[in-house]
Amino acid sequence: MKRKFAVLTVLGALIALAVPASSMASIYPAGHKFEITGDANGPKLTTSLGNCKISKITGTIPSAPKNEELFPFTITTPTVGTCSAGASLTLSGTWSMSAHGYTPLVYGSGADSAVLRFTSLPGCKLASSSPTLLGTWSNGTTTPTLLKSGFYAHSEPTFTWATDGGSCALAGSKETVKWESGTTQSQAVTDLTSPTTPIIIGNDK
Amino acid sequence: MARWVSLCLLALALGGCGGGKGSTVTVTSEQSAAGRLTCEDKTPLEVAQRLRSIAEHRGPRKRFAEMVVDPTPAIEESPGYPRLVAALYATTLPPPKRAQAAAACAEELAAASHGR
Repeated sequence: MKRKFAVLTVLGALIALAVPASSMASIYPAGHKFEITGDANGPKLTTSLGNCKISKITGTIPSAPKNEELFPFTITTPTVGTCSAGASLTLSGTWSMSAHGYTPLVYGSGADSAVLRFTSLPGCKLASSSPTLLGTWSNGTTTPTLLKSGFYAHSEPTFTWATDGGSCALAGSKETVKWESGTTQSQAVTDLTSPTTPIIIGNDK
Repeated sequence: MARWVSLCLLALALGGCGGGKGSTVTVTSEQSAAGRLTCEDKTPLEVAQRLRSIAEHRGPRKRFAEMVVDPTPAIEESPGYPRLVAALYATTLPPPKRAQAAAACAEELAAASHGR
């Protein structure tokens, strides 16, 4: 009985050691600058009153060995692209990137780090202090467009309506915003340090 | 076969795509029922409820419409409610026209409220 217990304890310890390693994501090559570019069909935030695209997400992979240990890492505030008429999006605060397996997430932190405003509803803003923009990642093999690594936006972050210098009847109400790529094709991820190298996310260390 | 394809193309050209049935069609029917969908002489809630069909659609607009059409007492009593109804009304129009239409509708709703 004691021996059985000892075997189970050792087995449990081994699993405990193995599980975090296999679920921890890492990103390569260390120290390289990368860019996720949204084109006409790029990822966009769609709300009840309009939508805005994110045209660029840029960051630098932490240097080794932190690229295998350090998630999240800080990235540049994503660039806002075009919005539907009457809508605007302002991003601020600190933005970071993290990953669990092949589902990287880009997220902001800080008061109102993502704010949507609409000319059809003055006095209100739709904001989030921790917008989480989740997606799926596909590793590329080389540089031609079709074989580049890709990011496909796909999540529904929750934003909150708030007063914006006026009376907002919806203040405090939540709205689920759609974060999705315009087509089934993912957005290409480019290595800006070495354009011929694909940016790779690894599930195992 | 060619005649059948031609007929289909002609039908599409005249009547539009069947899959396009949505808010435009709904709003058109509301417009014809009311002559013109206006915000004049009605309470914000009356106008909101005439836009109820929007809440039958899918996506973020549906949830927004539900909050406007079936408002909580706090939302309905808020001074910002007419603007909210006006914003919902504006979603039935093309984006470039929305800001102006929403402002006009909010003004009409305010004027109607004062007139009561």
